Amino acid sequence: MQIRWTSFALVLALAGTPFAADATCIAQQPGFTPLFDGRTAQGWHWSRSTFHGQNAKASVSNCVLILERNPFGQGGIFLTDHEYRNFELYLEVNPEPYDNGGIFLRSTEGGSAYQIELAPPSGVTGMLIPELISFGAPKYISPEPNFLDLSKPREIDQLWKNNDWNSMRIRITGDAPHVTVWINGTLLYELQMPENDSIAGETTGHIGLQLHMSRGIPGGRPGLLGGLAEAKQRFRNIQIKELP
Amino acid sequence: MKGRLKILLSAAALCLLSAAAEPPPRITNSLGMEFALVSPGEMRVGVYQPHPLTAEDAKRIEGTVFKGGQFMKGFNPTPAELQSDADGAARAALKGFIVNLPHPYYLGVTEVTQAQWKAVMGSNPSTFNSERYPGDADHRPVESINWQDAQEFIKRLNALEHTTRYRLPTEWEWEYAARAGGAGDNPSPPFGDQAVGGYNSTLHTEPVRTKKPNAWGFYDMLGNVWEWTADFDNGAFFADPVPPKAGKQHVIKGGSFLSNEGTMAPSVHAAGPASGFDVGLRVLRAAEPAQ
Repeated sequence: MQIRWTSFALVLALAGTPFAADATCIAQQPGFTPLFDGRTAQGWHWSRSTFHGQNAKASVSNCVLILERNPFGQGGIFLTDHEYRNFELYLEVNPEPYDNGGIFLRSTEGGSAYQIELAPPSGVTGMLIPELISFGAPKYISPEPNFLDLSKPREIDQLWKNNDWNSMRIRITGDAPHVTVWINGTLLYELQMPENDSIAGETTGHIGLQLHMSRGIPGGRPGLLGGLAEAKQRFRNIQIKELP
Repeated sequence: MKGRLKILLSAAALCLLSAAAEPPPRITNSLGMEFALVSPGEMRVGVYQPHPLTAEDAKRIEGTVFKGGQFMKGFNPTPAELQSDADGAARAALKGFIVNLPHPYYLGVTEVTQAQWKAVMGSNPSTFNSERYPGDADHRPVESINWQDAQEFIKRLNALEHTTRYRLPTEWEWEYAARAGGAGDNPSPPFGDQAVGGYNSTLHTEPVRTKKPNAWGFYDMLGNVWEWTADFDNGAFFADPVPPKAGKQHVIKGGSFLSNEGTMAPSVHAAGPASGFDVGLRVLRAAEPAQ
């Protein structure tokens, strides 16, 4: 099903919140507000200025937001229209194995952000990584998970279900971000960044869903992190609780 | 015979006239902004030929270590998946179309610098300003400007020089100068030599002319900051032959210090507002009053 664009004002009038969520689609967490209404991509837009691509496709089918590359090989960053500062984000994600995506926190329009990586099965899914920012070593408040050494047990491998839906809860607060991530209801880590790493010192930004570019332009070359260009990123139940 | 002589004389007079009116290859305005002449010509735009993933590519990607991790360990697409990928790449191929540039024009040799912006506007909105770079911020491109700011700069520049010749380039005027006569769509990606940006980007602007110029003498056409154009965005992957007459955003070209090697090319058709600190401008000066 293609996106059905509806009037923002109309939805506001109907719901009193920015999103008239389809109750049959959204399993709302206590205290959270839907960021995705389950029927349309209202409230989101593609960045027109990211190297991942400018014109990817979003569609909604059976309460699921599906992100696909367009044209072939060119990804993008799907951004909330609104910007957020301190918040807890809840969503469910079912990415195709060996595709590359991520969840951007406090993103600029061009996609400079803190990123929670999505790269199952062998990538560092759930890890906080820099996307077009540069940051120092995080200070772990919880035990530090093993993400990189595939020869040793990894917490994420215990928690993540490949080719299936996974819930993620991500909390970010403070100018120097304090970040906590839960996967399928279990704490993966809690950490404190030493400083605010955003390029212009921003403390707010968009929430973004990354569909990594998988081919270069033009003439083409395979992307470093992208697998099959036709792989999709799938999200549902996206909701937010803003924090003081 | 008499008629033929008349034609010959007229042709000679025209030659003399056009020789006398031949615009100089470079001009510098009262603010020290340097412009290079771009002669009429044509180019093929909108070509897309994505690379199909091969078994060899997959093996190489599978072994890639990025930031200490083996992101793609175990990636081993089936022959059917590779075939589907190849089919998708073939279906996506676009031959593009020819664009004619019938008039000569002068284009700024560099992006507008913070010093030039201050001289015209009396202010400096840039993020990478003298507080961050006390030594050379004046020579870094102005950024953190929207399209209306760019128009105001041009309006005041025209007033300062008592002319109407300054304006933003159209997307095609910009792209033609960025391609600098290269055949094909993107003959030799000049990232390392010519563009501020890439995977090893330092995440900030650099002074203009830090990298080498392109074949026609223009600096920073790729990278450093995106550059506003006159055209409205069509919301598509590539531009149409003629831009829309109205729209919400304007086209930006060239990528910025946040762009990378894989997707930074003259053909990239993007639009504002971008991140702000990654957008500036380059000015066009008409070579002919009537243009």
